[in-house]
Amino acid sequence: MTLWTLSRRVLRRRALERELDAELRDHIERELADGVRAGQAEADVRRQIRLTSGGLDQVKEACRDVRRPPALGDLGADLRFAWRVLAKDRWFTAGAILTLALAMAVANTTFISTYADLWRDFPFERPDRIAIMRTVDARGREAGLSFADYQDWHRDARVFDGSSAAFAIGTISLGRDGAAPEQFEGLYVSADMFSVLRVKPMLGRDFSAADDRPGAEPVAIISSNIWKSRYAASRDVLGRKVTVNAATPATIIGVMPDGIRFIDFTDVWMPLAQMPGLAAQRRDTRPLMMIGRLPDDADLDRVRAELTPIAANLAVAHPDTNRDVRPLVNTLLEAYNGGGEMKLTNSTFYMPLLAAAFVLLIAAANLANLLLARAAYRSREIAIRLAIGATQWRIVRGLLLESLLLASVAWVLAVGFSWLVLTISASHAAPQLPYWRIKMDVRLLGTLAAIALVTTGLFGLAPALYASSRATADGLKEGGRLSTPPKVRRWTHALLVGQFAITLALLNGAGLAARQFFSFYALDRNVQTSDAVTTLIRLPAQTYATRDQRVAFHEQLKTRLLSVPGVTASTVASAAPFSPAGRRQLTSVDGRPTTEPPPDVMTVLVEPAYFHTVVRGLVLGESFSELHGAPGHEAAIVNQRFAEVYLGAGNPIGRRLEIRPPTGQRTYLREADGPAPPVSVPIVGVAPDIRQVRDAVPTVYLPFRAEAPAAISLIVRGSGGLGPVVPAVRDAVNAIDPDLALGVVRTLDELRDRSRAGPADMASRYATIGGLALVFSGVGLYSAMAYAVRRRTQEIAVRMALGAQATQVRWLFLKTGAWVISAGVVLGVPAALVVGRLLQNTFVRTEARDLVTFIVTVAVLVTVALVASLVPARRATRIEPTTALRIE
Amino acid sequence: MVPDKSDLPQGTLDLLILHVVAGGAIHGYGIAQRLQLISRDVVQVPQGSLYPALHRLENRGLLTAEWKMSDTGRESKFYRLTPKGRKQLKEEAASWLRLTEAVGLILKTAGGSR
Repeated sequence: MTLWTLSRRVLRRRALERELDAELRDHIERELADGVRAGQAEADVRRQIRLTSGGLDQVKEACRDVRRPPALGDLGADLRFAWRVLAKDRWFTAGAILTLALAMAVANTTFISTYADLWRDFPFERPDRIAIMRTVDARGREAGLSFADYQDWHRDARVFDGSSAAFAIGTISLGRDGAAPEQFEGLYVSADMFSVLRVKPMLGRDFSAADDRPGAEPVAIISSNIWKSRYAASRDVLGRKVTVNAATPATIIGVMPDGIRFIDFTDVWMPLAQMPGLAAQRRDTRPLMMIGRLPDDADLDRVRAELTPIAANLAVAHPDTNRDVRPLVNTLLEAYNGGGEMKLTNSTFYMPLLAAAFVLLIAAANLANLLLARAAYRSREIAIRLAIGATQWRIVRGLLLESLLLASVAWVLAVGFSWLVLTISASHAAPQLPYWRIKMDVRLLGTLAAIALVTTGLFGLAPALYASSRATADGLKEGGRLSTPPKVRRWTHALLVGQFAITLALLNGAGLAARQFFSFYALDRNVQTSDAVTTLIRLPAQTYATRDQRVAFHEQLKTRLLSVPGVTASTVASAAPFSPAGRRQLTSVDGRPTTEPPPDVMTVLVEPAYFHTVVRGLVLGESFSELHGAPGHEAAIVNQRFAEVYLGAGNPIGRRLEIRPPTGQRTYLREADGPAPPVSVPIVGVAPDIRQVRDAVPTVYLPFRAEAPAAISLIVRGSGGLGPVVPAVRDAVNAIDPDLALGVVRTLDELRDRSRAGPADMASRYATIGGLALVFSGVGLYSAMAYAVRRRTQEIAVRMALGAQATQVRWLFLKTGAWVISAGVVLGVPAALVVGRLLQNTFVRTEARDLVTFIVTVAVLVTVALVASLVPARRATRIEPTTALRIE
Repeated sequence: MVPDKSDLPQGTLDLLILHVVAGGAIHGYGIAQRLQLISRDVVQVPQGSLYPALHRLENRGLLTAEWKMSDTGRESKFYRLTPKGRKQLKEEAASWLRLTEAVGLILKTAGGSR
């Protein structure tokens, strides 16, 4: 409808109104004239006309209904009316909108960030058509595939659109190119990989088949990231000579466009043929993954059908290594978005969603209660409107429009809120996940809007129906004084009880999150984080082939570092605190075998000084000696958690463990472990619990010297500021070996804060949700009580005039509050237990029935409820009987 | 007793109005009077049914209306059939007669309840 026809319709409507009025008046006057002519008294005729016509206004309304397009007729008028009502009742409106907006903002923020976590998108053409192929063994363990297996799969698989390709993850360092040597996330790829992904370098060329042959001249493609940071975005980077991994001279041949960092944070790509140890790789070493593009008419099942017989043939040909090894086929999107723990079925993801949804429900219940109270308050207005010809449907529609109008305004505010929150939080935290980006796309926002509006609509419907159905006669009769029928009171109370029960469960969840976070704080005090920096060093296998060579390097480095002024200590370990460490299998304790399959325990190789320069001392026993780790001098130190889980009561010192590296199967992510450790090792000490990845887990420390792995963490302590220490570390390393690259140098404080960022985020999420739920429930109870006090002013005045005591009057209202809160707690306890149970997966160590958290939660909730009902109850006692009765 | 709208079968009022209006331009009150007269007081149409029906028929283009000076000295709204209305009347009247004839036939036959 154009503006022109719209305005014409408005003008025409006025004329039609006038005509309608004239026509009906004409009818009545004719009827009147006829009656009088027939000899009746004029008053009698008028009475009869009134009786038969059924009321002039109803007739008019019925005629108007004929003209209007059905249902939409006076939507505009109703909307204007709803707006005026809301604008008049400013406090109610502001409160309702704010409550809804906050709840919707929480829901939006949670949904949008979870969506971004779980449904990431790739910057490639049709990522859903790229199949990624790995293997899975009889025990369901997932791994990649070996180079030999890949060659067979690649040769025999015909299904793909174009060739298939393979890649393997590895760290690649660059040096001797004019800047200090540096380590990067690297990927060794077969020549066709980028053509499978359908991406091309923005500068230079892609790998050719000739680049990916044994003995070919080494070449590398770099990301636009390091092109800018390391090579100042210079065009003559093509053809630049670099030394790769401190040993291999190579040439840069291409630069990838922005955003292309396949597989996730990769900065350097090299041909698969350049991967160290590729030619000698056994079939049971499986670091590769294969990808291929599906043609339009094929799906993953065709790939599976084709690969299964190939794998079966290999199992027959190589039973030692390939028995029961089956292909595992997914699309790239699935592998990323549903892989590992990144699933909606993981409570880390669905619990915040549920919690946010419940906050929305609480807010909607609050709105329903407010509307119910207002419906009773407005019964007079509604009765009048019904009396002058409004249909019930019309009234319900008007009331519904009011709640939808509230919800829509709140929704717009909420989108603004969540946008602000998400933008701020996204700009603060570096992405922990590849391809993570906040998407506020229309579909997502539309769905969320629908959820929010439907929720509000449903909660607004009951009060609207109630208000329109009962208002007719009573509303007018009682002269606007309102009594709330017991049915409404029951509804209000039921909603309040529900709110408090849910709030209890949510608050308990928030308490558990907070407790976990504080337990991390406590654990982190076991590490001396201040004045320490750490970095990763990888000794290339070509130049540091033996354990003795690596030990010699570390000794030399330590001597150099300790001679630097300001450096007080230097030590190496297989993993610094707050960073991922290796795992091994614990096969027996005190000669008794553990379960089958043996449990994994975290293993960290450390020098004797580790326990007084990095960790704050040992709980029991002594640290390793310089001799430990040499053949015949085996020793292990376990942490407290290990002692609790595997050693039970009794002195751990002197007891013996057997551990071994994980067997042949290795996932692509896992580093190759060193040689197998001694069969049986005695425990010489117990270390305090510290965190490596998330929470403290059972950990075994072994003497560094026993293996001296190639990839290690260097931890250097300084005094009086770390400023000079960082360059000193770099200088010392490169003075020994100029080609050696350091990883990023970080302080231990920084590592600790990074590892806490996730739990802190989670705790603040739950705290926000629990806090909002608490506030909403408190406000809900408060407004219900305040309304009841206002409604019963007269009754209270009579009671007090008749001699009721203030305490009796107060109790009149406190009773309701007490009833609501006790029923809420009774229902909330099982809900809280369920929530606690579901959260156990998220918060590793929290008990579902953490009594302290629980008692604190209930206490907080009861206090809030008491305050919310006490304030209105006190107000009731201050009513002056004389004034209150005079109001009437 | 005042027979109300529900005493007329669905759609009958429209047919009756069309038939009355077919006799020449007439105002709402006149239609009501004419119906009551012809039916010997059986059909009494209250305003609440008559005017919505008139407006509906006008809306559907079966009737047109114009304001004309009348015997009372005021302007009244006179309704007239449109060609479309005339066609509709013919069809509906025919089908109504067919139907009542059929119903009469059925009711006259023996059997059923008495």
